[in-house]
Amino acid sequence: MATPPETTTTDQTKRFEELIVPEMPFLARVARSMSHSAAEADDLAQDTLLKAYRAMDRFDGRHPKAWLARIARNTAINRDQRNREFLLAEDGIVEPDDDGSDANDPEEIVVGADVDEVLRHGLEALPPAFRVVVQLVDVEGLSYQEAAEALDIPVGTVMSRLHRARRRLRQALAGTHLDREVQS
Amino acid sequence: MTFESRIPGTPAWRRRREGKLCVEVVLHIDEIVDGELPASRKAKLLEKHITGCSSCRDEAEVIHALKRGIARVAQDADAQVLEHLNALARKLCSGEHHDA
Repeated sequence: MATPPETTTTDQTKRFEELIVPEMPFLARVARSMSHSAAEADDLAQDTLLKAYRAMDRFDGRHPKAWLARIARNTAINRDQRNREFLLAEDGIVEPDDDGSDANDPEEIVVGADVDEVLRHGLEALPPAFRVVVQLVDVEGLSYQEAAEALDIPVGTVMSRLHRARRRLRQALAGTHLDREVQS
Repeated sequence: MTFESRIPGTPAWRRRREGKLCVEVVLHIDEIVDGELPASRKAKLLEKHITGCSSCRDEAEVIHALKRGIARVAQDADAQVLEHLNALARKLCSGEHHDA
């Protein structure tokens, strides 16, 4: 039986440059979505990159984003108890309060500086377990299945967290002024 | 529920059917908007329903608008984090870092 060729450091570095280096902005964004602060995200992103480099010989080359997200997630939950609790959060913690406002009316969804500010705060206020799902699906364009694999959670949990996170964001946006992007 | 609403093809039956489809749309709205609803007869039925139902169309538009807004505010990576990452990547690729 033929022996597979050994992966040399040069090969490893070449694959790292080709597959992982282009994903630096993705890694920075995802690390932020999993962290409580920019400083924490900085540490998490760099730790993740180092681990990814060391593990290049075990990476099959498919779905670099999902692979990086999974390393980041494991790094974050192993870091300390606080992250573990937040990243393994039960779905119930993000249930929005019902303040009676109509967040279902597209008239209530605003576009512009005000909305962006409300959305930024809304995203910041989400627990990381929910924020990272929104980040992976709505910003990075991963499918539910890819997000589930990246975060090592069932697809149903991805759907549930996404739905609850969006509900909370809609709740936050209710009552803001609308510029009717939905009709443009 | 009226007797007429049980007879297929009658206006009351159609209204009842459309009402049920509205509930289905609300239940699956995230999957529909995200393109994650598995292709099926039901999926086609829901898509057709959304086209003709203003409240379901509004519901879908809200999610679309929300997704656009989220992508707009969360697409920029923190400049400092990115700078540090790029510096580390350069070190790793050049063999300067002790882990390289």
